[in-house]
Amino acid sequence: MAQTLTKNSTTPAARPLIFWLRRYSIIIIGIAVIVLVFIWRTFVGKQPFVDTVSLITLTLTFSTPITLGAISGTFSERSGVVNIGIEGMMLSGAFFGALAASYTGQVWIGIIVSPLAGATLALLHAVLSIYFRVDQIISGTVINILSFGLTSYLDSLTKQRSRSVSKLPGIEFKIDNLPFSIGAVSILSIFVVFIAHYVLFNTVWGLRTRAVGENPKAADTAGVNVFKVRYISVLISGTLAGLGGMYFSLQVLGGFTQGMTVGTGFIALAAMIFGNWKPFGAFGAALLFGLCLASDNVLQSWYGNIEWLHTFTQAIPYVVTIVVLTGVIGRSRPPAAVGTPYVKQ
Amino acid sequence: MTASPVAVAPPRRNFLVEIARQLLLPVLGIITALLVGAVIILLSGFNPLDAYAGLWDGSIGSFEDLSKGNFEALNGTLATTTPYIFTTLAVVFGFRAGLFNIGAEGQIKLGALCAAIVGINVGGLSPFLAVPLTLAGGCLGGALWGALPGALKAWSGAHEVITTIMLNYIAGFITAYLVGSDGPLKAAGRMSQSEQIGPNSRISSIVPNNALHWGIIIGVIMCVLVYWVLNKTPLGFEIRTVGANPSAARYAGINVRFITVITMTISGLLAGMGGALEVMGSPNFFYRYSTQLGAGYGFDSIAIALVAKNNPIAVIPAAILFGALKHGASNMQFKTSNASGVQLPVDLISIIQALVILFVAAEQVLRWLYRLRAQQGQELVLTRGWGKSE
Repeated sequence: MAQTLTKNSTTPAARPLIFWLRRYSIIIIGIAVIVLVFIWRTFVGKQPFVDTVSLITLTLTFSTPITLGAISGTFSERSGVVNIGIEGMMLSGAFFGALAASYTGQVWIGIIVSPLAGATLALLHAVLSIYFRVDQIISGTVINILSFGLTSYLDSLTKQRSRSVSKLPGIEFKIDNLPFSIGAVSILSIFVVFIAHYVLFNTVWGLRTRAVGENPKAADTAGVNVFKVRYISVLISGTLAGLGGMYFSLQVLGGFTQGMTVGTGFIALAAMIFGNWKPFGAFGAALLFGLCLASDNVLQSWYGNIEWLHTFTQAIPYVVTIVVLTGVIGRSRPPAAVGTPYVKQ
Repeated sequence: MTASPVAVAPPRRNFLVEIARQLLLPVLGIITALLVGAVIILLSGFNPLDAYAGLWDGSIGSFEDLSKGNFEALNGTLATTTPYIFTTLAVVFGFRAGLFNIGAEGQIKLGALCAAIVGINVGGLSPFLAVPLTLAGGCLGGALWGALPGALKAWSGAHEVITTIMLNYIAGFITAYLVGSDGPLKAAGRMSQSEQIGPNSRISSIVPNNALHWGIIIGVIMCVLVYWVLNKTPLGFEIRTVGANPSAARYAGINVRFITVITMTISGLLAGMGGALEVMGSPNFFYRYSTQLGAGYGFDSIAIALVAKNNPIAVIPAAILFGALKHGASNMQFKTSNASGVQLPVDLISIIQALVILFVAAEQVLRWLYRLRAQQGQELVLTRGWGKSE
């Protein structure tokens, strides 16, 4: 059997080394970076262990919203709906989570309100793109502009009440008396990665979602309710994006500022593409972006605030996004039906 | 030619009837957006009539002012409109080739910065040399910043929606650094601004001591020029064909990659020209490059392009509409307070803009609201997925 099928075989043994190198490239790069940083800090006579741990925790922290955003995009696009409104959904999640925390005095309420805010905007995106068959890019643009306007408007109207709230707790630990912490949303995001992978690739629901994203007509013929699958997938997408927004206001800053998501939703889309529309891929890509973002902080703490260096390191994630898209698109493959509204015959 | 969807001409009707038909939905959409906006104002405890009166007075001027010949508000609106015309033309030009250029913000910034650099250095020459050189500097800066995502799209398939947004941020970082606290271009004693460009590189105001400068006339000329290029030249035909169906275009022998790059280059050039004219003409920036210049233009100009339905001539009224919204916003805020003395936040304008896009660009919603029948070939289709365009 193995002889006859070797041409199309997917058995691991048949794959060349380069395949595995490519598949685990992120992990390999990650380990290489950690080892290099360790050696480098040892070489200049600083505290290599503390510096490396700090880099790892910061990477994990900064990658959190990108991970959630990328998985948000993965859910939506796997069902065939392009979601460029992730940025807006995140911003709303950030704002309404902080607002609710401010009014109730309970920071945990954000865990319910932020995803709900994202899901509400997602419902609008779903109705526009699935029911009205509006072009999904236009719909996403509407979501982004609306969310920016709405959050800034309500922010002024509530007299900046959401500007300062308490932060979510996280895991705190000390090494050499230096405090480190990993926030609640970051921990949650890692669970989300595993759950998303399980749901998409090991459940009937996930199979249906992927079928709808590849060939809605065939899925419909097989008895899958295309519209229902798409509505729910877009809602899941909005929920995750809202959760990602909570990271900004309730984990990092402890408050809301206008436009605080600064393009993370778009970086998340790049991570989704880089991750080949798979949760673990998205996580790996998000970690890479997180590393770029962390390098800004880490280099500043090592070398002080040097203006040109700061400018350079700030721009790194955006440059890397472009480079990643440039090198990868040819190899990654989007769901076949993504972007096309389904018309039931 | 008849096989190509772009070449199908609609049956000839009475010219005025046709114009009215074209205007019906956009006007209805804008009215609907303002009505929904009024509901939002009402729900937040303000009087929508006060708000819209404030918006009118701030953007066009009260009837009292107008009858006295005081056109200050209107001049301000048109001055705000000027850069919008250019950035929106940039977006429209890209749309026609199926390219979604969100990078107008980065392109206008780079254009303005390059114009400032050239203007500072050639300001001593005769105006007949200095003005075109400065303008060309701005065009070049914008064109390069537009060509980059074009080339990336053409050769690697990197989607321009993401690359242009990323380039906006990168442009922001570069320019902020160059005029930042130890940047090489920073003017002595000023925050985030370059030196003034030379006096001979400047263009004058239409009305003395007013923000409205001759750039708006150039903008109107560019609208007509872009219309002509897109609709009456071989290049325009190729661009529209690529936009309608890239694989058909390739089979017809059109070099899709070349068209992608040239479209994004021209698109960036238009935005860069807008940036250059702001530095050269707008007294708001004191003839300097400022980091304030161009902020938010990327998404605003997409909104305007969607409202103008991708028509270069319709860009003029659509840009004036958004210019009026933006310029009148502060007066609206100033004139509207609720019972507890809180002023209406200016950000309402962003909400109204989103509603305008929703009701004008996403016509399906409007038709559903008013039970209107669909007209053929009126829907805007932009989504192309994320893969290679060819």
